[in-house]
Amino acid sequence: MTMRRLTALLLALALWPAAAGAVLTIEITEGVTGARPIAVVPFGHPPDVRPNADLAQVVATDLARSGRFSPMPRRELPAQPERGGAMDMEQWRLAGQDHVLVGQVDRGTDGLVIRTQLMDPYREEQVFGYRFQVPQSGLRRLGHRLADRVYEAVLDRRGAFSTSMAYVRTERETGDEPRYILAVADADGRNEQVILDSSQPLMSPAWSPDGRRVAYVSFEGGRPGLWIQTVTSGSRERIGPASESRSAPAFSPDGRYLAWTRQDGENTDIYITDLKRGGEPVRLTRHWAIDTEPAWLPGGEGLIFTSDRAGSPQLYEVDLDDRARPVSNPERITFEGNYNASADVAPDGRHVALVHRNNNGFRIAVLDRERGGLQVVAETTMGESPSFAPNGDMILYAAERSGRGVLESVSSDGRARQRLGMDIGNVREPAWSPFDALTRN
Amino acid sequence: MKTRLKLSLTLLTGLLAAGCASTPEEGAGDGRWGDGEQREQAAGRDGGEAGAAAEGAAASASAAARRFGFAGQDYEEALEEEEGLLHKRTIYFEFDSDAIPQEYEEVLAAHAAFMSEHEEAEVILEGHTDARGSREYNLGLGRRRAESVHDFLELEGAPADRIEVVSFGEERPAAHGGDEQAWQQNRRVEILYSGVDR
Repeated sequence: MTMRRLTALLLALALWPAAAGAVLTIEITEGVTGARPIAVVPFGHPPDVRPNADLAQVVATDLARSGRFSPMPRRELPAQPERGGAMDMEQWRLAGQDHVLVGQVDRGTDGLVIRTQLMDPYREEQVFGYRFQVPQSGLRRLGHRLADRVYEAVLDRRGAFSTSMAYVRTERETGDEPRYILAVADADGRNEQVILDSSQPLMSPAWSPDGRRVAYVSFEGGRPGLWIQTVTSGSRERIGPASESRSAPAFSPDGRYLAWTRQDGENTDIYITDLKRGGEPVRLTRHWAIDTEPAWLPGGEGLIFTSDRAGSPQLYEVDLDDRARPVSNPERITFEGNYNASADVAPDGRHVALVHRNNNGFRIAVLDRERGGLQVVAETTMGESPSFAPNGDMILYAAERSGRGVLESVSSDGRARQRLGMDIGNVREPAWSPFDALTRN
Repeated sequence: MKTRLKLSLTLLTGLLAAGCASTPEEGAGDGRWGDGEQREQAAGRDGGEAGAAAEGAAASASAAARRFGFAGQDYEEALEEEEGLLHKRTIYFEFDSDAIPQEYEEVLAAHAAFMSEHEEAEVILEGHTDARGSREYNLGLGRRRAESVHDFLELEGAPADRIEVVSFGEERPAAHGGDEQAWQQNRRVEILYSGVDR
């Protein structure tokens, strides 16, 4: 995508009125070469139907964020057909578009009816056609689902646009009345939903694999403690006694176990609780060093964690049996640089996103567990908390820009990077939800 | 390095315990003198030798009160005296370090002496870090700093059962900003006294 096109997209975004309650907005910070050209034509609608979201804009923005598509700027569209049959295929071939998405929004018996087609102008055929019925309020979410369909149809990979994220943001952090807010939002940062508001620090949100619950750390009571909260109902329970300092929760891939960190005297070690059977937690590490930030391998066959047992924080891996008990000694897996931490394992089990310090600051990098190489994917100075999309194609992370905490996303290969800038406060610690997270009733 | 430090701490603790055991019974009170005359007598001695003196631990505590300037002051008064060592209740650290800078040794010795004289003193040590790096790792670092202060106080004679340790990592910065000036103010352990600071 050329810079001119990026600017056009940015401008289009700026002109589109923000949806009510939107907190995050998207800024494109870096472009991509080699992305697939696609035209997403504005959806037609009768004059008396007023959609409250620009479907085509939602779809185009999602596709651009992935780094794998280069949506044609709206003002450059050679025509604005509403149906595949009304297209002049040669016109779109001349415009260099591999795919064209067209559609209409109309009134239905109950809400809105959306008809849409993805066309291939080279083969002169329809790739897919769908008819959806949604309430007016569901239009934006439908846009994300539509972007998922396009992603799947063209790339043969599951799209992750209609997912959610959890994050922490603060207001007046250094003042007398700080506020710490735990929120979930759509993966593009829209539709924020506050799930907890506290005067004490909140940190380390982590999704359950069924996408219904979020584990996190709350300092209510004066020390870090673990909580698990159901997103839709808001009901929550503490994991462990209030007298202990616990943090860094991570659900096992089957949801049965919770790995976490306990601070006891001078020891900071990792434990695993069986959420189903209860009982005493199993201690996973036993070392005077700081052992923390457990991250499960996708099959539950091991954990990756941060430890400074070699003098500076590095990642280690330990094997687990099918009852989540350690069956090997921890083995170091990072060797480049003197600071590698905050692992998040991709669904392929092979790639690990992490925070890597080099001479210029804390970068977001990806480790290849099979080949051992480390690739920096985001040149941040204060990068934190990388979190893979459930399809592994993108990474959300926190960064600092102009003294403010912001969220950014980057394609896993580092080619496309976007910022999700906040209007107020500092935002950090994004955790990308699994597929099919349940955040609303 | 770490192992050697632990070893020497253990050794020192042992020596202190041995010193206490050898002190006479009459010195083993609550650490406070009943009247001013005895206090003056104690003040005449060097605080450092008090442990070996006949008056034992009580004399040493009171000598310490003179030495650190809180003799004759009640609990709140001593902690709120702006010129006093006890008013310094924040210890600052170097980047990525849990070593207590030398300049704070006298301050911590004063707190240890004060704690052993005032049984009502219950202290929480809050460890904090600057904003760089992993939040969860920083939670561990803050803990290490607070434990480092805890060890120092204990070796100076503060009662361990009245000291609680907690880390806030980088979650409660004292100063906002992305430069060394702010970071320096955030790498700290705060000594919080019951009834005064919380």
